[in-house]
Amino acid sequence: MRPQEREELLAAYALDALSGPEADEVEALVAGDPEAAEQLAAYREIADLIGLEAPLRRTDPALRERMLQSAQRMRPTPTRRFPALRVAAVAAALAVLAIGVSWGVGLQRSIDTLQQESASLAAIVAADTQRIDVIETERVGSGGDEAVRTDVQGEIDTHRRIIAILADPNVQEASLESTEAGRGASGRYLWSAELGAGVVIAQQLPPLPIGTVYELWLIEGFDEVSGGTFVPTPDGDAQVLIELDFEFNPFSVAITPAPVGGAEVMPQPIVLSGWVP
Amino acid sequence: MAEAQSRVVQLPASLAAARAERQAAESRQPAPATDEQLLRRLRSGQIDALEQIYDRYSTLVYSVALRVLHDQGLAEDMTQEVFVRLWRRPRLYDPSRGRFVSWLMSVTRNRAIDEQRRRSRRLREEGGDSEVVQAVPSTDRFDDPSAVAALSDERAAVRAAVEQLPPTQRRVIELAYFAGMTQAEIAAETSTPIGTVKTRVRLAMRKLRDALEQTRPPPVSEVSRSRP
Repeated sequence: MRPQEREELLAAYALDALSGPEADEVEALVAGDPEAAEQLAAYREIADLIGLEAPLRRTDPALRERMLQSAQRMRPTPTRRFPALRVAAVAAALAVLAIGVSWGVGLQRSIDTLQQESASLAAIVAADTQRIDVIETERVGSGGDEAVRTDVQGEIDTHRRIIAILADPNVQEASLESTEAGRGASGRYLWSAELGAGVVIAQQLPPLPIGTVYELWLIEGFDEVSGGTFVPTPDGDAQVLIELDFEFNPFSVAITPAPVGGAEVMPQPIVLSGWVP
Repeated sequence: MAEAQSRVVQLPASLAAARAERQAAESRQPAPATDEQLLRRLRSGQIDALEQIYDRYSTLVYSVALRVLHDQGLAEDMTQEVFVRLWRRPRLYDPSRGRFVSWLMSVTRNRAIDEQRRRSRRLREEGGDSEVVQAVPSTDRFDDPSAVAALSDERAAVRAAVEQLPPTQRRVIELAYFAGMTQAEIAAETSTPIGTVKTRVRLAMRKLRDALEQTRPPPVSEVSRSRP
């Protein structure tokens, strides 16, 4: 390829002005030619500056308010996820760390049982807390892989949070009902106003098509806020911890399939949903 | 004829004191947060960081969107979408890909062009005239320089560099960047041989590169076709 031809391609590519086959040609070129890659990077920097040439126009002050209102309704952060598959992974990590503890006892119980056994709940929580202490002590001494330890710590934190929600005597509970698309599934939504956090526990969710996950949605009026994506166990079970750091009072909760990474707007079909008290 | 008089006006003591106090107060003001600082706060969900980023860049984002879309309402929608999207997914911006402002302009431009193409397609399908995007003459008539003071030098350099291009070269750059046209589309739009369009793009980009050598941001390490 002549140098002039090559420069033409690189300059046009930087401007996104090439058709598909030509763009493919440039990608192949820069993949094997560091000099071409450098030249393209330089042109990219120039192309990125061209927007500054646009004549500036003042924005409507009302737009700022609209944008902020929209943003404030749309951000559940930090959203914590508690997919049961990760619980299994963490359990394996704990085994590696030679901790013979089975944890998450409280989570294995159905919420109905927990509600009925409220008298024993405190004891369960206390026992779990003790176990977590043991896990932490042995983990610190284990000198294991840092990434695994961080992962375990995250799960311990999540676990503690869920226990705290379950232990809240004023926890609000809603039953999630399955739709036709989610036939056989069931779930509970528990919200602790005091903690500003909640948990959704779903069971027997239908198997997902490859390349999809489940996504939790909180709905207030016409606003839908994603509560995060999750992957259930092969049995279709999952627990999702929800923490909101802004004012949002959902009156219903729904679970839908979604693409990996989550959907921009709530997709269909809904498999589980319920009204929040 | 009256005698010319010369008078030195002294600043009244009270005004001098007030001015000194104001200057002292100004010097105590913390330096404005950098983009990196604001983005860190944005990632931790602090809405005031979004407000500051909006105040800093909304004029620029809106102006790029308006330049592409030629529709005030659509440009406002696009501006809102860009900032809300940033709020929802602040990690979409990867600092290793270059400066934040470059990324923001690139996102705005790409999304606005997508919208413009959808609109053109819809118009064609509805049997209306396919919209031909005309380059908007560069003018500062409605500029709001205070809104982008931090970028004013860089912006002036870019505008000067673009204005120095021969009109035919400037047009191909504007059609590619603001109208999202490929070289083949530019050739058809301007009734110019494709070879001539390619030459104009190359020469224009080279001239811009040479003119902006001093203004360019730090090199972007990664090269990828995929735009944010």
